[in-house]
Amino acid sequence: MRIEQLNLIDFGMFHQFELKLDPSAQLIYGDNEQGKTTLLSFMLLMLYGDQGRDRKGQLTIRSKYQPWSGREMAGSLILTAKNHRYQIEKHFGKTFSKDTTEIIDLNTDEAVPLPPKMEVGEWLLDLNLAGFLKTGFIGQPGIFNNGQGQDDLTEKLVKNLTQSGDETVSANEVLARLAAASTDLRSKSGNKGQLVAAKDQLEQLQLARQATVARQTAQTEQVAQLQELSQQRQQRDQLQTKLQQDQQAQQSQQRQQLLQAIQANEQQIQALHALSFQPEQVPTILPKLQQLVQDAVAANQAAAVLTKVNGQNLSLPISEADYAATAKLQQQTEKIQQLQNFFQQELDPAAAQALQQQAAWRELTQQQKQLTEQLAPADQLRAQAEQLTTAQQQNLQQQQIHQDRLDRSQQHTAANSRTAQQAHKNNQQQKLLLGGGLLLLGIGLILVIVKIVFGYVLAGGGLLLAVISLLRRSTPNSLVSDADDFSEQKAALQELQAQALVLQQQAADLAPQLNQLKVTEQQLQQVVHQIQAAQPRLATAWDRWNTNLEQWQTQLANTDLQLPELTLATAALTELKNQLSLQLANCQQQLIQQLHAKQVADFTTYQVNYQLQQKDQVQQQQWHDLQKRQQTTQAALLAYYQQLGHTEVTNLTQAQQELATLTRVGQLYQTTQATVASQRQVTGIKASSAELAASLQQATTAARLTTEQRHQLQTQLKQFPTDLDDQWYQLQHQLQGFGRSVDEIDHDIHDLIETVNLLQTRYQSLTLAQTTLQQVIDERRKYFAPSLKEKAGQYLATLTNQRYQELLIPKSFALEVRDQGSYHEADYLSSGTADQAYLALRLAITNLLTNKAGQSSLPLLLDDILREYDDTRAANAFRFLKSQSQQHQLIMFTCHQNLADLAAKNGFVVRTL
Amino acid sequence: MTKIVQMSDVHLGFAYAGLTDRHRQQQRQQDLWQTFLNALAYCQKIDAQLLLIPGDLFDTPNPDAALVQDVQDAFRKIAPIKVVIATGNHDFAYAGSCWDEPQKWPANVHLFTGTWSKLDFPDWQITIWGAGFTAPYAKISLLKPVTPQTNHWQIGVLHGDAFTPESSPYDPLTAEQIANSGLNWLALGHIHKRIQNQVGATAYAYAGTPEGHGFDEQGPKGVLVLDFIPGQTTPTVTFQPLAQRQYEELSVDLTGLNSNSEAAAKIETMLAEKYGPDYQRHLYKIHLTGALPTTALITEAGLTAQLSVFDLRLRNETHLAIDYQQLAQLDTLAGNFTKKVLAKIDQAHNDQEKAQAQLALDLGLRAFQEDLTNAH
Ligand SMILES: [Mn+2]
Repeated sequence: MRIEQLNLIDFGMFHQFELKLDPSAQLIYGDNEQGKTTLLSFMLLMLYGDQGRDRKGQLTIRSKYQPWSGREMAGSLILTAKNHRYQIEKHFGKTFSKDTTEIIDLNTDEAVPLPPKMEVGEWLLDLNLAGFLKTGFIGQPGIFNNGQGQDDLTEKLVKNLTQSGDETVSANEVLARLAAASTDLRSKSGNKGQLVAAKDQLEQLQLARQATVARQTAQTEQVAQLQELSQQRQQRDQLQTKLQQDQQAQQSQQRQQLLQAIQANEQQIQALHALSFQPEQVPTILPKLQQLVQDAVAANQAAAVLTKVNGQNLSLPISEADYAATAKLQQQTEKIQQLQNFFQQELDPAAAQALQQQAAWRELTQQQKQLTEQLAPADQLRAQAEQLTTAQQQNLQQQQIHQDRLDRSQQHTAANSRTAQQAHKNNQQQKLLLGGGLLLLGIGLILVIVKIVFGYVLAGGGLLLAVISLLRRSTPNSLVSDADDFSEQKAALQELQAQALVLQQQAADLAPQLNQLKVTEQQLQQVVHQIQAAQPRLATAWDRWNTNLEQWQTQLANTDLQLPELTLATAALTELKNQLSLQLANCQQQLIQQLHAKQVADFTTYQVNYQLQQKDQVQQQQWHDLQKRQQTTQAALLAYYQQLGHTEVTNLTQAQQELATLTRVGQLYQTTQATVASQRQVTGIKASSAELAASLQQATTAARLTTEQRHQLQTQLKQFPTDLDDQWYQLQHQLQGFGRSVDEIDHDIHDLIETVNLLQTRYQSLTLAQTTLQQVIDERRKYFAPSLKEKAGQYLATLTNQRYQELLIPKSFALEVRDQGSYHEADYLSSGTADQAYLALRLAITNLLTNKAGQSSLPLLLDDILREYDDTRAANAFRFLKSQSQQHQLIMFTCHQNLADLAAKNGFVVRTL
Repeated sequence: MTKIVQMSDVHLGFAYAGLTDRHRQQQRQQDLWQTFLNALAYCQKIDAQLLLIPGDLFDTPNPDAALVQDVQDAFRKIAPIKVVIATGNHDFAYAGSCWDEPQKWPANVHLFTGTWSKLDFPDWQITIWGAGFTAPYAKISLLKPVTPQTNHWQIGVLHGDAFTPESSPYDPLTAEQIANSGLNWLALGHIHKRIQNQVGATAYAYAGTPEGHGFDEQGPKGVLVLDFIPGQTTPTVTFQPLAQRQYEELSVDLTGLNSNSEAAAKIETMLAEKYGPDYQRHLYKIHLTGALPTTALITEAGLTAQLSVFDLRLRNETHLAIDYQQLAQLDTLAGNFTKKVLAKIDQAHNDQEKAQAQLALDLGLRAFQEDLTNAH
């Protein structure tokens, strides 16, 4: 490449500044601040652009050379390279990315595109900026680097020897990249890196897998063990539950009992409250009230006795003897009452009936008497008729006898005939008896009416006779006679039949008279019948009367109306007295006809009255005393109630009721209180009734165990190990610490092995690449090193007029120069010589690197490189450099006038700014 | 006809610890629960009479008490549908386990937590047989033969391994045993993949998990619907997808693409094609393959940032589009390097060495271009 022309359109101090360059060698001279560094920078910027801040963070070329005109930074170059002539125009923006580059092929006048991401220098020189700075640019340290020591520079230079010109990156960089990628996988120490981590992870996973497999195997046993333990626990729990249930049942029972006791107690407290008593008052009040009530009651009872006796307000104690006497009096009163009743209900009506019957009977006998008188003149007639009848009968009888004998069948006729005869006879006798009886009865009755006892006897006797007569009449007689010889009978019978005809004639004559008589007799007969009917009625009535009378008399006679002696007159007798007097009055009224009884009653009345009067007086006094006592005690009692605030108690009954209630309630309260206290002490339960009730509601009652059962259960329970639960939980925990499954770990292992293999392959490939690249580098260095030594030696000899001919580059990169058989470090030499050595080395490297076929020649930008040289050395250097201008365009800058002169003498075109 | 739903290996309580992001973990936990609820709702929707759960309903034998209660409540709500559960190796029954309190389980839930027993449903002409795990392992088979009955379905519910019965400690079930079981249908749990088979007169199936737990459980997941049609000897089986999200693994060729946005666009197009417009809800493991131009700027981080899917794992298996042979001819550092590594690829003893050298070449050349740590 040869640069023909620089055109600084706007760059730093320059504006539309044009500078034509010689294609061979030139020196641009100018004093300080004349812009030679600006020109140098312009060329670098045009070829390589702005590479950002330098390493010290100093201003970049871009900011350093902003146009003083304030316009946009811009410039152009005309150059030839690769057999083309180009115009390159650049406009610089604020930043690198805003820069624009335009390339025009001046041969064809066409725009040529710059390959992407490529700078002009890279495109045309096949060198990046770093490469160019190490080859084409030789300058004072400090412009583009930090001025490190020469050794460092040497090292860089030499290392770049291994880099051919077509590589945009140093071998070192490539190695570093490979190494970095390798280190990413595995650090130098082998402790870090992706591959190391992955391998570690894999190892851990494999260990985890082993552990998991082992654990799973163990688990099979653990599961069995767990089963065993579970069964044991279940058995134990069952035992415990049984015992607990028992205990709970006991507690429940106790609680139930306690609750009941509390409730009972509370009930009593409530009852006390309802009675307006405070439970705590009970122990003091109760005995006192009891005493007071007892007193009042005693007084009251005393009075009550009197009250009981007389049924009134009076009340008096009475002895047993008195009571017996009183009872006797009552008995007697009752007896009198009975007598009275008897008289009224039995005796009196019996008498009335008897009198009625008697009257009826008397009428009948009167009729009988009249009829009997009518019958009296007919006696003769009757006698005749009787005789006739008798004859007829006898005749008939004989006929019958004969007839019977003749005809046995005629017996009955005869018998009948006899029976009728006998009846007639009987009738006659009866009439006599009846007449007598009735007479006697009449007399008796008359006597009875005048209340003479004998009359009764007489009347009774008459009645008896009458009755006997009537009885006789009803008694039939029967006789049986026999018949005689039959043959005689027939004749006699005929005679008798004739006789019978006569008799019959006579009888027919008598018949009308007899008929009249019969009518009368029939009338009489009827009356007699009536009398006969009345007779028993009358007798019965009289009997009843008599019997009752007799009874009443007997009772009356037996009634001991002699009153017993009363030891204590009783007030109760007042009523009795009244009653008795009433009864007696009745009795008297009833017995008014009975003088004797009346006298008895009067006496009795008198006696009773007297005794009662006596007793009444004593009793009155006692009653007064008792009443007083009753009032006092009751008052005291009521006063106490008043004091207690129970004003509603106004009498003893209430007081008693109240006390009874209070006593009952109070005692119950005390009892229940004591029960609660003792149950609490025994069971130790402190819960309130509400808590108890709540707990009991939930509790279920279970049957209690027997002591033996309980012992058995406890013994069985003791046989279980105490740490059964711990064992179970431990085992459960072990099972639960299951972690990940083998399958899952296998997944991960599978994935990880793939990763490890990939990384491993990559690592090995990187290692292979590195070692191979290193080998290539070493080989190339080997290949370059002798040439470099030779070339640098030549150049150094030229520069030093053959004084020094050999240059050595040891591994330390401290340049050594051979001087009279021995090597000296460059620093050991004078600074001028050292500079010569570096220049020689630098050019040797540049030439070695850029002598490739087809490669464009490199313009050498030399920044005042000879300022430390003396004139001799400088002249040598110019000569030497001029010889290089065949190969390179030389563009050298200096601010030293003497160098400009020397340059001109040695064929350099000199341009002065 | 009796309709039965079979749902296996739900693993409720699964932590999704494989997901590094806590929120995504929680989301997946929610997904799992939601799928469980959806399955129950589905049972109601299709008027199923029975829901069979052959084990691993819970992920652990000691699930969280709150979870257990939620599950119990959920089952209670779908009554009168009968739920029949057999415990599995993950949620085996033991003294004190959540299965140990039958009174807490709703009346419509029947538990098989021990030895082989049965449950009759005479109205449906069905007898359900089952047994449950009582320990992490069941080395002896839990299945017992039953007597087949005509016009009566004999159904088994069991957690067990019918695939490696010779070595499995998880209720090993040999084909012979299944064939001689006398069952019309055996609802199995344990294998998380959906598998259906028949040996002898017995048809059986693993419903697979209804919601995936990781990239080893890829594809659509759900439950099985079993229609027991009179006259048939085995039920008609229909798969009903229910999973909230799927795990999917695929390769995408990025050859010739230059930027993250181009790559992202290609991947998105491909996902939409394969998994529908709702593809964003799924979890993907994507292998990036193909040759990238040297100038291409595609990074895993950049690509991840541009791809909006629930979860994404990228495997970068791309290489640079470079003519290695030509590069090897250049006497430059990169040229020399390429030449050397190519020689090693040629000399590789095996594929692994070869792949390693290939990757070394790619990484080395990448290192000339960019910082490798950024890309990773
Ligand atoms: Mn499972």
